[in-house]
Amino acid sequence: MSSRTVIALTLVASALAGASPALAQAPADTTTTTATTTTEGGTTTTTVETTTAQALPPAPKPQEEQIPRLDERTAFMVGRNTLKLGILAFEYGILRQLSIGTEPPAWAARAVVDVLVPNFHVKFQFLERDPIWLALKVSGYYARLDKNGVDGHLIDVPISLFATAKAHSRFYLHGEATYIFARVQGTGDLSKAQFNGGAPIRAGQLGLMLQYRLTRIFSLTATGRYQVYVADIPFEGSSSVDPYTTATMTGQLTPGIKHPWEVIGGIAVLWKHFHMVVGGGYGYYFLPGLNIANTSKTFVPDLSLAVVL
Amino acid sequence: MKRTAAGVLLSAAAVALAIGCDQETITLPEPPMAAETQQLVALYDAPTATLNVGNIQQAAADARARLQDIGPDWFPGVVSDLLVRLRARLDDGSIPTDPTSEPKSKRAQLTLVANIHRICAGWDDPASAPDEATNGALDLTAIVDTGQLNPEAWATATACRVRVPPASSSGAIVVAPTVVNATLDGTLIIYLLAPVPSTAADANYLVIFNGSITTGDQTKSASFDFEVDGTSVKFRVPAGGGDAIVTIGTTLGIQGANASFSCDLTALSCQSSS
Repeated sequence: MSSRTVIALTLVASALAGASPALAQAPADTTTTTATTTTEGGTTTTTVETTTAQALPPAPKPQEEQIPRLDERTAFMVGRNTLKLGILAFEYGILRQLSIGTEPPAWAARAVVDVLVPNFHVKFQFLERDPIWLALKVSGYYARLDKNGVDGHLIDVPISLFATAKAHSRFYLHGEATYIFARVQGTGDLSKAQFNGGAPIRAGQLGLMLQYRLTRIFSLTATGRYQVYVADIPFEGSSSVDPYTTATMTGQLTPGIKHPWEVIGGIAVLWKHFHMVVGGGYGYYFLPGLNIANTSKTFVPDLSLAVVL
Repeated sequence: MKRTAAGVLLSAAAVALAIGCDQETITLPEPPMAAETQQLVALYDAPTATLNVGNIQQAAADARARLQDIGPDWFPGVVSDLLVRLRARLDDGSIPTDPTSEPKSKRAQLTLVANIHRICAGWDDPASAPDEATNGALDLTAIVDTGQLNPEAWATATACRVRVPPASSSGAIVVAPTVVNATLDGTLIIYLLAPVPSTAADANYLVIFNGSITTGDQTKSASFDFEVDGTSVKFRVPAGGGDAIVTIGTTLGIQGANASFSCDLTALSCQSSS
């Protein structure tokens, strides 16, 4: 076997061993030894030259942090000292595992329903052990109700547990379990103070998102959401019909659709400083953040744009 | 980290448990005498009395006596007025008012108890706020079950003073004095035969009354039922082995299972009308 053949085999073996990134980055270290055999009496002289090429240690893999992560409706976080300004959420990472934020859609709802809904949320990642991440998010929404004879307020507190599992280097499962608690308090005709008849006071919802990362920034997503439980909405109110007559109403509102659902397919493009999630599906549209479902099945849009600073 | 994670999970579980325990589910009251009331409604549609010339005079006499108890020229007005107040409240809340209409599917459905507390008008026209201690009150209860109004409502009259001006008399026959100062005590079951009325003219319901009525100085225990359809009032009298239905008009129309008679109240003379 010639020395060139030996060198070639060594390089192939190194390549099969997974050292190709190293090849691309630096030349291999080589060691050359020469053995000489001399036969006296005859005149045979054999010289064997052996060259050993040693590859450099494999280049370190890109840090997971360098791959932008989908941090909405997942257990991933926005990151320490990071501000994200998006159409679905304003988020600021106080710590790597703790962020606070607010959701613009709830504020913007005033343009449609003439009710201001200030809101705030805290997200805490309490387990970060690749390939499992767990996070808890507690949100609070407040709405003042002072129309149509109603004088009261609504407090909505969704509590979400997010679990993310990396099933494969490119494939993620993002699970979500949300419990929604809300209370209407006040006087007047509170039975009319409902969001198109679909404001759950106590509800449990499950969500699952499959994310397949095609490239470093581009992913395919498939999302499903299902309301597994909803309680009736209690209310009580009294009013004067005339100076002689007072009326008291005590009751509950049973949501027309107890188990709304939605399925959405989409893409996620996650650059370092810009995130975009676009998709579409079918089912009962859940208001982002509030997680209140529409009362009829329809096309479900999914759009999230955010600048990450 | 493990301790922190466990703590957070425990806290979350505690919060969820505390919220979950805050469950409130309304239990609707049972309408009183529901089965008996429905039988009575059916009876008004199909009287069971067997009437003939031999027993119609007695039926007419009984009807006349019952007419005195019912006070058709003022009692139905009290009930209709109460129902009109209920209607106003139901309309305010977009709450169903027709017991025969089916709730729309896939819509949020209301289940509720509506209580109407009405201070009675009294015997005078008070210039100031009505005085419940003097005038008494009526308390009406209506229920809506999963988006459908129950046709049966019920009420309690507590020393309810009612004055009826003659101008508002709805009956064609004025049996009582021209001005009635009455006091009601007792229970009423009201079965709606149409939507809760917006005005007295729209009223269509059946009433069962048990209690006492004081008119002037006379207090009588009374137990009777009658049906109101607009300005028409019907009531029931036992006759001919069953019940006959009497319609108040310029004469008394007495209907049995087999025949109908028209009776002059003053002369107590009856003629077959069928």
